Amino acid sequence: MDFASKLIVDTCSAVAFDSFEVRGKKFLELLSKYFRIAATPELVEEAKRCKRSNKFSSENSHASLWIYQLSRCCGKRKDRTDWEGLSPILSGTPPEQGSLGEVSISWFAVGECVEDSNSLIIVTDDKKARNLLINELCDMFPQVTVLSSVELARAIIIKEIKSGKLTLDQSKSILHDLIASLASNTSLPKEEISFESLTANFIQLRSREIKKLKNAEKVIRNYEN
Amino acid sequence: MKTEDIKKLNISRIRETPSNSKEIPWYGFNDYKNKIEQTLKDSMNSMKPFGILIQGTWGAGKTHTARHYCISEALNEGTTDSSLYSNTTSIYLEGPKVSNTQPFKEFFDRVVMSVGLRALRKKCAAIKDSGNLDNFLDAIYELTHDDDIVSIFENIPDTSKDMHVRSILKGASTKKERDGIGVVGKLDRDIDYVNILLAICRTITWENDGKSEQTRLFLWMDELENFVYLKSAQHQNFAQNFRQFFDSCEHLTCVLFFSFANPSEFGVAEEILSSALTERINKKIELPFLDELGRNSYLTDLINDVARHSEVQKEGPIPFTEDSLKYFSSEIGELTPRQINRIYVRLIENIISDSDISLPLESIETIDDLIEAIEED
Repeated sequence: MDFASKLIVDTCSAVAFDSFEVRGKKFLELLSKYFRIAATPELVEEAKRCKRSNKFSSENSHASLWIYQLSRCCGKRKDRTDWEGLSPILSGTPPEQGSLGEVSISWFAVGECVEDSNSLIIVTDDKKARNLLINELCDMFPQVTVLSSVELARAIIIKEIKSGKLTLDQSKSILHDLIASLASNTSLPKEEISFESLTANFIQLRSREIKKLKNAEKVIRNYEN
Repeated sequence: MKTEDIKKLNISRIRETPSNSKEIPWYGFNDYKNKIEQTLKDSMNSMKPFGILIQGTWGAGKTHTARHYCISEALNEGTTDSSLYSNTTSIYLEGPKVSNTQPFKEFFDRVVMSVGLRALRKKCAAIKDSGNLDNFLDAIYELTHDDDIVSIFENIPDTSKDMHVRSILKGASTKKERDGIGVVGKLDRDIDYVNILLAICRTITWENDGKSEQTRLFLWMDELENFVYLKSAQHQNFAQNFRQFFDSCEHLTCVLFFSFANPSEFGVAEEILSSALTERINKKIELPFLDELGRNSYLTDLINDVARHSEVQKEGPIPFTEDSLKYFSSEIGELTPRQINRIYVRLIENIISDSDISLPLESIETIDDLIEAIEED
């Protein structure tokens, strides 16, 4: 385990990661090597629902193992999916049935902060959930950080570059593939993806991310010298 | 100008997105147009496969350019030596679909569909009638080294074999269909698609009088920004096969179109298309941003074109006065032709329909107000 933080992954991001591989390894599998994965029962149910409706990738899906992993990670904390208690940080209309995953993530984050003082990374590409709830939560509890799936991937890729397992060119192509996977993942409702207009924003996202990756690689090299 | 006259204006020619109509009018952008036509002529003289990359922001006129040259065959009109350029074929192709996992097969299917079996049959039948079939089939073999593909093209003129040929070209033939025209392999691998495309290209550009260099195929490949949706493996697969096709097709000009969101992204096309494709580009052309002069020229051409195609007799910029047109061009700010079309059409529609489509004209004092009102509407 390399990162000290706990990691909780929203289902829409898990779906995007499903067909994504780094060095021939499923990314979802790699995540548990770097982070302490956390989950809520509602997230497990949501992942099962997505698997049933074939939202995970059709070939070599890691969905079953991911669901198994999530089930094992569901801790002692009570699963809460009531939004009323979160109303002080809700900006906008209360979430619908489909957003219960984010509500349970939010309650989980609150529990981590107030009971165990753990730091927690929430991974989500759901712009609506971020605007409605999670950004406010991060503002309120500094132990909680929110990352997009691309940012999380970059964090892991940087680790792999540092350990000499990936070259910059390989990393660029991996990052490109994740963005392509997010872009072409038609099983995701468009409003759940945190990019407004698709192609233009994916091109911009790709350029930005690759630039950051290049800079990070330079800094790593300087650090090592 | 009277409202009655304005109501007669034919604004159906002005569209936000280019249509498939037979005529695609061209406004403004004279330097850009000259540059494209000169580059196309250069490509014809090159006697080699030739790649052109045209880049610009969304709505700047890329699809319009492609359709204009595909449909109006303006190229032939604009050339100085018509005998040299009299025989070109243009094919318009959309970019790869987001969810397609076999982009090269998709490219193949689109070319086959655009060319059409009827056109191929007509060309092959003409070759046969002229007594050149053997030469032609030898040329196909020389290009593909594949007897099966030679068999297909030998059978194309025979209408009774249509179904067999069609199935094979779709990459989904039965053994019986293949046996029917003496084809052994299934022809459903990428290399088969490359070879069939080469044969199609050779057929289209074949000249019975032996001056085959006079004929050229233009592939107008739009929306290549969609390559951002392809994963590396798919991209590599496309690039490798496309290169093989392109490099062997000496009578081919590919015009690649790439859109991006803002001017700072010039150069991103090379990164997304990767060196595998961009190394084949002989000339890059950037779609210009409309400055004040450009806007004036674009608007003047647009307005005059509308007037020419309407039942109004008035000369000059309708419905604007010269002064208001100047004001419009100078105040309108950085807009793409698509946005200008939208504003113009919206203004006229508003006048025509009186109140059905309502812009709050009473509160509009500046062009910015107008744009804002249209965007909100």
